[in-house]
Amino acid sequence: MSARLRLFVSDARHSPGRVLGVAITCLVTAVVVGVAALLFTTLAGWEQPERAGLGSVSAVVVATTPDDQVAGALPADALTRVRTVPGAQQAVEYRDRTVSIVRGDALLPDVDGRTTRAWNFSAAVADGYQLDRGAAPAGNELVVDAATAAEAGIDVGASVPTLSAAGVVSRRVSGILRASESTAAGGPVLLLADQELAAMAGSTLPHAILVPGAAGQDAAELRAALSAGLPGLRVLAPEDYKTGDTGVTENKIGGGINLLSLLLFALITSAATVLGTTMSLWTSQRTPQLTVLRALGVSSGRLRRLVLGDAALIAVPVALLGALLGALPGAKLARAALVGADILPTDTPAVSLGGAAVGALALAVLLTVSLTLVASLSGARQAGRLDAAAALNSGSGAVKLRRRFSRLLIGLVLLALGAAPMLVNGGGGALVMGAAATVSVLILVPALTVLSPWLTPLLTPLAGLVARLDRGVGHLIASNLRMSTLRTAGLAGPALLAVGLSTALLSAPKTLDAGVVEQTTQRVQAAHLVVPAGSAGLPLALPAGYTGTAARLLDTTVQPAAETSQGGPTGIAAAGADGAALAGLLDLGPAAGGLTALTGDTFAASKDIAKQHKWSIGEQVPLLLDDGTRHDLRLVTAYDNDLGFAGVLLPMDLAVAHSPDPMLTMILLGGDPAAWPVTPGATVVDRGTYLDALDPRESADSLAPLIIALVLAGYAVLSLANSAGLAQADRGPENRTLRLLGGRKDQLLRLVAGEALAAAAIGILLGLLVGIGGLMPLARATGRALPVLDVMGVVIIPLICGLAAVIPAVLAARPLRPVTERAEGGTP
Amino acid sequence: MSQTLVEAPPALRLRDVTKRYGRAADATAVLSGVSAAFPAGTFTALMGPSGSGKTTMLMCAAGLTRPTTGTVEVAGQRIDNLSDKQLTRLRRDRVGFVFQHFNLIDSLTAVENVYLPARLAGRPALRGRAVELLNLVGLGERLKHRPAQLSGGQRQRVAIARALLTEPVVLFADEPTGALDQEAGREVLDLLRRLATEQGTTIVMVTHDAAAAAAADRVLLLFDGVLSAELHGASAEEIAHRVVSHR
Repeated sequence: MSARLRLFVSDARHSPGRVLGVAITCLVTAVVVGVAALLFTTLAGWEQPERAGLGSVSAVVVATTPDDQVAGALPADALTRVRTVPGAQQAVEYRDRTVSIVRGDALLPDVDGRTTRAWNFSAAVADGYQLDRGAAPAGNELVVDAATAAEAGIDVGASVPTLSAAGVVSRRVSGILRASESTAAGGPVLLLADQELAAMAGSTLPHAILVPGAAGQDAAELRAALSAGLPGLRVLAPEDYKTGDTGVTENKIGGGINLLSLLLFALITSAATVLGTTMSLWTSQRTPQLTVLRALGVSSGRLRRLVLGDAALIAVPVALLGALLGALPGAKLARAALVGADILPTDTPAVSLGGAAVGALALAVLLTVSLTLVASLSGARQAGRLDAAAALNSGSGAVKLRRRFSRLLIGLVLLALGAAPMLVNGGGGALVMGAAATVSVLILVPALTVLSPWLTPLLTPLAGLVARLDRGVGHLIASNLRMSTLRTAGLAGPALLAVGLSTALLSAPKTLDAGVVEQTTQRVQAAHLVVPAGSAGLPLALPAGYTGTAARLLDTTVQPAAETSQGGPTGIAAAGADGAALAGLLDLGPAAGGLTALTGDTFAASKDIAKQHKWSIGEQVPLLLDDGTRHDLRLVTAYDNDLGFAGVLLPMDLAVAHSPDPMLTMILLGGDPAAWPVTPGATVVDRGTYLDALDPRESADSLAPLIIALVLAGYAVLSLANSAGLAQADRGPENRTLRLLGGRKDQLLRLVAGEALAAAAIGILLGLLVGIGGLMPLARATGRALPVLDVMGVVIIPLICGLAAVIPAVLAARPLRPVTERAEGGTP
Repeated sequence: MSQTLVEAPPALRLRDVTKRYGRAADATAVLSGVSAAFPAGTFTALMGPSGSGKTTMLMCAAGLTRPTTGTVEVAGQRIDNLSDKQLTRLRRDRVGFVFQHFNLIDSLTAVENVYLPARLAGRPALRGRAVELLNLVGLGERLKHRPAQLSGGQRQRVAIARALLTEPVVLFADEPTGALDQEAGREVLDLLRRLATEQGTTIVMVTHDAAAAAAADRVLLLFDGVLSAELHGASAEEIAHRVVSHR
C-alpha cells in the first residue's frame, strides 16, 4: 500500500464519521442523479408512433406572431402569393376544426384520447392520404378514417351525427380513408369539403399552406425558394409543423421530461452546495494532519492534490456503488410512483439496463465524481495555503476559519440577481409583482444562505436570550453561538435553505390556488352553468329551446401589436363574452361596472393587465387577435376579479370571427336549467357542484414543486446533519473539560442539543421570514392578508431540520460516556 | 477531665492502589501498590519519567479512573467505589483541576470561565466569588477578556481560579507549567505555592520539570508504577539528580 493510500486509510479509520458524511452525500447524489438519468433516458428513448406528419408535403408556410411563435392563421392572400413561387403551384390551404362524432350523449375521442379534428380534404390529399373507398366529400359530407369508422361501426353512405361549433349536424359518410401508419398514429380522423370547413363559424383564414413536392424536386431547395419569395411569412419543414392539438400521451411525456429536467437542475445545484460544505468541513478538520505533512516538507501543490485525491478515493467507489445498486431499483420505484400519480402515461416503458441506460448511469457516476471534485476545490485551496510554522506554533494545529470575501461577493451578486425580477416587473400589476416576488425568493434564499455567516450574528442574541432559559448551560450556548459564527452559520445556512425554499415553493401555489378559488366563487354568480362533458368545447349557438338568459364565454388569446417579446411570449389569455348578458351571472368587481359597452371594436381588460401594458380607459389599443389579424380596439372598462380568468374580454362576435377554431368554454345560465335541452358533449351543473369540482391545478403541476422542494430540502437536511455531526468533532476537548468541571451528562446533552437546535432555529426563522415575507405580494395580489402556508414547508421541514441538527450532534458528541480520560489536546 | 483528640484525615489518601490495563493474562500494571497520604494545605509534586504512571496515579486520585485494586479517599470518604453520578458531583464540589493546555472555553470571558462550575452546579450566588478569585490570581483587570486575549500564563491563572471556585478539598494540576515559558511558569508556581500556604489548599501537581517540583513542599518520585522516594524541601538540582540517578 502506498504511503499516500495508507494515510487516507488511517484517517478514515481514525475518524470514520467525517469520511462517512462525505460518502453518504456522494451516495445519495449518485443514486438520485442515476434515477433521474435512467427515467430521462427511458422517456427520451420511448419510440412513440409518429404524429400525423405531413409525409408528402415538402414545405409548410405559416405566419408568425411578434414574439416569433407560429400564428393561428395566415393572411387571406397567402395561397396566391405562395403559388407565385416556382415549384409551388400545387400548394393548398390547410385548415382544421374540432368536429366530433356523436355516439349516444358522448363524443368519440381519437386513438390518443384527444378530441377528433377534421382537416379540409385538399390538405389531406396533398399530404398523400388516399381514400380506401367512397368519394371525396361534397356539401356537408364527411370522410372518416378506417380505424374510427370501424370503432363507430359506420361505412360509406351512413349518416352520423357530428358536433362542431355549429352544433349537432347530421353528415353523410362519403368515403373511408385508407388505413396507414400515420392515420393510426393520430393523423386526420375526419375530412370535410374545403368549402364546408372554410365556411364554418370563426376565422375564415387558412391555418397554413401545404406545398407538396413535385417528383424529383429537392424539398430543401423548394423551402429556400419559398423563404426568399415570401417575405413576412415563415417556411417550415413538415416535421416542424404540428397539426391540431398535442395528444394526452405526448403532453404527459413532455411534462415528465420537463419535471426530470427541473429535478436534475435542482439536484446538481443542491449536490454542489452540500458537497462543497461537507468537503470544506472535512478539510478544515484534517488541518492538523495536513499541517504536519506541510511541516515535513510536502509542497502546497501536493497537499492540494492529496485533498482532491482523497475526495476521489471516496467519490469514485461510492458513486459506482450508488449508480449500480441504487439507481435501477430507485428508477423503477420512481416510475411506478409517477405513473401512479398520473404524471407519466400508464404504458411508459419499464426501466431496464439497455445501452442508453448504461450510458446514463456512467454519466451519473461521472457527474457525482465531478461535483465532488469541484466541491473539493475550495478545501484543496485551503490546504494549499496552510502555514505549517504558524499552525504548529499555535499548539493545536487548528486553523481558524474565516468569513471569506469571495463568499460575500457571491452572496451579494446573488442578492442583486434575486432583486432583479422585482425591478424588471416593477411596473406590472399586483399579480405580476406577486409572481416576481416569489421568483425573487427562490433566488434570495440561496443568496442569504451564502451570506449566512454575516446574517446569523444578527439573530444570535435572540437565540441566546431564549437559550438562557436553561439556567445551567444556557449562557454557554449563547456564548458559543455568538463566538462561533461560522459554526452557527454552518447549521443555520442549510436550515434557511430548506425552510425558505420549501415554504416559497409549496406555499406559493397554495396561495394562488386559494385566490383562484375565492375569486371564482365571488365571480361566478350564475346559479347554473353549462360546461363541456368531454375535451371538445360547446357549440356557439344557444339551443333553440332555451329561452332564459345566458352568457357565453369562449377562450381565445390576444397579443399587443405594438409590443415586442422580451424573452418570452406576450400573448394574453382572453375570452369572448356576451357583455350585456354578464350582469348578474359573472361579477368582475365594482370597477367593471356594466359590460354592456363591450360591443363592436371594444375590449375590457383586468386592472393588472391594463397596468402591465399601460393601457388607460378610452384608449385605442392595437391588438392581434387569435388569427393574427390586427384590430384597433377601445378599452371600455377594467375589472378586478381576474384570478383564474381571462386578462382581456372581447365582444363575443369579434372573438368568434377571429378564432381559428371557436367553441365555447362555458355558458352561464340565468334561467331555468330544466329548460336546457340535453345536448351531447355538454352537461349542466349547479354553481355549488362547479365550485366544488374547481381544481385550479393539475396533479403534475402540484407534484412538481413538491418533488423539487423535497429534493432541495432533503439535500439541505443532509448538509445540516453532516455539518452538525462534523462540527462536534472539534468539541471533544470542550466537552471533556465540562465533564471534568462537574458538568452532568444531561447538561452536556442539553448543551450540544441546545446549541445545534438554536443554530438551526436561526436558519429556520430566517427561512420562514424570507419565505413568508416573499409571498406577501402574491397574497395581496390574490386578495388575502397572508399567504396560505403549506404544512410541509412551515412545520414538517422545520421540524426535520431541528432533528437533523440535534440527532447527529448528540450522537457525534457522545457525552454519555463516563469520563475516564485525561483532558488534553489544547484549548477546546 | 480528659479530652480525646481525633486526628483529621488527610485531604487525600491512596492505599495500596494498583492499576492494570488489558486482560488478566496479559495485563500491564501501570501502578503497583501505591500508597500515599496528602495532608490538608500541602503542595506535593509527582515526578517521574514518561510512562512511570504519574498521570494514572493522578487520575485514580481524582476519581477520573477506578483503580484495579486499592482504595482512594478524599477527605476521609472513599471515592473508588462511587457511581459515575457521584463522581460527577465529587468533581463539581470537592476537587479542582488545572491542565497543561488550560482547557478554557474560548467563547466565555475570564470571569465566565471561572464562574462556569458554579453555573453547572446551579449556584448563581458564587459569581462574586469568581471575581474575588480573579483578583486573587492577579487578573482583576482582565475579567471581561476572552482566552484568546490573554497570555499563556494569564490563561493558566484563570484556569487555577476556576479550579478554586468551589473551594475544593484537593487541587490537581497536570503539568500546569508545561505549555508556559519560564517566567509565566514561575508565576503560576508562585501562585500555587501561595494558595497552599495562605489559603490552605491541598495541591497535587504532576510535572516533568525538576524546577517546578522544587516549588512543592514534598516531591514523590514514581518509577515503573512504584513510589520509590519522597523528598522534602529538595532543590531542583537534588530532585533532578535523584531522577537521573534512578535511571
